[in-house]
Amino acid sequence: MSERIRKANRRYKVEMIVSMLLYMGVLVAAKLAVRDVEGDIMRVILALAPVAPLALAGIAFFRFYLSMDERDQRVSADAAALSLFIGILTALTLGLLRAFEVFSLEDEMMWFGPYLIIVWGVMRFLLGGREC
Amino acid sequence: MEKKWSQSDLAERLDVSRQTVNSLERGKYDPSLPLAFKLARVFQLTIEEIFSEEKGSNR
Repeated sequence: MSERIRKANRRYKVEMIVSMLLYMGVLVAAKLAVRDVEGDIMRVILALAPVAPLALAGIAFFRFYLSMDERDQRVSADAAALSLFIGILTALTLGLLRAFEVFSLEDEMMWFGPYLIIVWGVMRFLLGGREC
Repeated sequence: MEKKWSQSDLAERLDVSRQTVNSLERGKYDPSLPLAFKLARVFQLTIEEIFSEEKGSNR
């Protein structure tokens, strides 16, 4: 691995850890604060506050993607295409199960993002991008 | 031309990951033209000397 890629990997890991710590901190703080808050605008602000650190994580990932070599970019893009397909199938399956009143996971939709990230990671591993 | 480079050495020179070098060696990945030129430059060979014409089989 070249020094440039090594540096990019290190930076990505640091930025991801910081983003995730910020996310957990903001989420806990927002959940605590929302108990004492009245007014719809403040509730919306608190509800959406955890999205900001996740957006930072997204920016960190995109920078990491741009720093990858061409093969790793290809593996990541193929994994993303497969994850999109699996995500659509999952959403369709859950929608049908709900429509036919088998069961509903509507309250758990905040886990759909992490689910897609895990699917992408597994696809990336299977397609040969184990190092990153 | 024989070079006593490890995959990591070559990865460093090509500015790619070691796994990419491994995939190139095993013919599992066809490089882009810029990477193929870089490989040729590093080994001081022509692209034709590195990659055979047979589809999907480089060395």
